[in-house]
Amino acid sequence: MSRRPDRQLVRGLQQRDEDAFEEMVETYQHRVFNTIYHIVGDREEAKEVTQEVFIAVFKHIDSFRGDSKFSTWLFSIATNRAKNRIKYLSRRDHKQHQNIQATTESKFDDNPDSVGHSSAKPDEEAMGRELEEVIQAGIESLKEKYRTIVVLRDVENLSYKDISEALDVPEGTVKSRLYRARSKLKSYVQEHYES
Amino acid sequence: MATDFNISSPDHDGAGELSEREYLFNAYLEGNLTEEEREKFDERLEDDSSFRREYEEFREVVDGVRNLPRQSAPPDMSRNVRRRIRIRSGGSFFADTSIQHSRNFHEVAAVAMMVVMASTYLVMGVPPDRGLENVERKGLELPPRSRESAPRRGHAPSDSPDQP
Repeated sequence: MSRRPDRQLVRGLQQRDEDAFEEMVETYQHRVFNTIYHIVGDREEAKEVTQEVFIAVFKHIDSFRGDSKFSTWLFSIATNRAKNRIKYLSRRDHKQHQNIQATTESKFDDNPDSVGHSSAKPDEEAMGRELEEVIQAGIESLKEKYRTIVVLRDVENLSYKDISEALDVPEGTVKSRLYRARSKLKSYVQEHYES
Repeated sequence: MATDFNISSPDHDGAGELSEREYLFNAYLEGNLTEEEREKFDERLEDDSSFRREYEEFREVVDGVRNLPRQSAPPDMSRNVRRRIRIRSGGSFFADTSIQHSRNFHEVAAVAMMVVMASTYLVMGVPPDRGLENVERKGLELPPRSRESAPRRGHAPSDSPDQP
């Protein structure tokens, strides 16, 4: 299905056109959900936050002036909401993340093609999964400002410019935080994946 | 070296120092080295096994993040979001396009009918009321007595029991 350009989509949203809203959600839901999931680290929480993000987009669409790309504005809302959720959960001493094994199972259920382990040997597959789990846990161990950047850059492949606009920090800061985030992540993985 | 921050100074966010190697690995992976720096890096990778091993470990982690399985949103995401919007707004948040379209159609039809009637009125004028003409004509032909005794609207006829 061909999709209308973001500018037309925004106009439709500003006119409270439900079709435009549905199209916007269909277009961005997986990217937004994936980003929030890797920041928050819990599928149910990510589902809730993603819904809140789209509600916020519709509620505040009149304040979108078009200075940045719509997707950048959307990611800005998504990362802010995800950060707020992390703070909320930490205030509640929310320590329990979704069972990693169950998450991995659901990954295969939701998007079997993206994993691409079908041809791997069982032991390689298990090692791959273990590394994924350790890396995801490592991301969750990062401070929120590093976590957000490493997810936007390495998971979502956003440019420095887009990340800079979404997080409202200079590009140099994006780069320095990214470098440090990766170094911390590497230390975490070395510590937890030696076996 | 192509850098816009000092690797030996603490990050202004208080994250501590970044080693020169870590900086180089990142810059190499991000394509932030100059051509000359890149060539030197490649040479070092070939010559220095410790450097190469450390780089491979670093790259494995970065690749691991980049290749994390993508999470798909639940299939009912759009429906759930719209439902929540409707609940929060008492059903008035969206412009209801179906009712709007239906109302527009009826409005257009009504206006069209009014235009047709107005045009007919202008072209043909007011149609004569034949029934009224007949009554008046007949009324003139009636004898005076009969006309007086003719029952008027709202009045009882002259031969009613109430009359003396």
